[in-house]
Amino acid sequence: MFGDKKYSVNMFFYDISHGIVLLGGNIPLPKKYTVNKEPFRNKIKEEGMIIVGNHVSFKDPWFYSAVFSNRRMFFLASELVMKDPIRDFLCRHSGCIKIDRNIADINAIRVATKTLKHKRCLAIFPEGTLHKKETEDLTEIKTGVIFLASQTGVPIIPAYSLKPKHWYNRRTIVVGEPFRISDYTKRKFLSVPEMDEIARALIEKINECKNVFDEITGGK
Amino acid sequence: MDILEGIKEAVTDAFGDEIDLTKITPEANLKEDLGFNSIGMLAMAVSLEEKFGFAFTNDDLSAITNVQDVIDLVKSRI
Repeated sequence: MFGDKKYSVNMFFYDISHGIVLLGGNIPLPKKYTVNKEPFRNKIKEEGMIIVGNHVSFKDPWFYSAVFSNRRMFFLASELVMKDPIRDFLCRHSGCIKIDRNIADINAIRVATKTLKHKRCLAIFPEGTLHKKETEDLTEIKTGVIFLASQTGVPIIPAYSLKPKHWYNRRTIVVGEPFRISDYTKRKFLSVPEMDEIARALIEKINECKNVFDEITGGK
Repeated sequence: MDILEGIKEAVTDAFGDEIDLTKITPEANLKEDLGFNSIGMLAMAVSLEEKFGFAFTNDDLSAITNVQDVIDLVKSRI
């Protein structure tokens, strides 16, 4: 992808792998709602966007891919997920962009920025890890998502979902309204305190999705 | 542009008024003395790239520990 072999993606492999995981993982046809409890349909088709949600399962990336099935989805994935060459190959060609959370990984940020500027979708789980206590509100997210959105000007789509009770149940998701950094500031270069403040507003939007999710599903 | 002044401007871009600019001396350690975190480092790097017209790599950022390292890196690239 974008001339760098380390980040190149074979789109044929991408489509095959997503098809296999969607069917094998029993995650097609998710129940999709807006925060107004209406059926959700993705209307952003010609613009890059960042989808942010809570992270409860290793299948989340493919689930989000099914939710936004009219777009090809790329993901920011921790270096731990792609630690050996086989997993690195499988994840990379499934659309994962490896980010090393232990350093200021400017290479990964640059690839993610290019992905968004090419009007592609990027899913990020900004808690940075699987969320152990599923029923609690989000309280903290990594601000890299705000940094990326401010650099590219794309909207952030907040979302919330939990694993279904049984493996054969359809999974539910609540998707919030697009969240734009330009609604908070017109500056492209945001300082860390500004990013922290906007991140708190984004957490509120994700928790708003969670509250609607709890109302719809009873928190299950 | 004077490199140290450019770095001070980039630090202001990255941290607003949270960092006292008088603390930015060549000897100052970015993490220990100035309280940099990884996102702050990224924000400063992007601002410096815009000001001086070159691109940082992960190796560049990993090698930086103090302000003098940033000055040397910028000097070697412009």
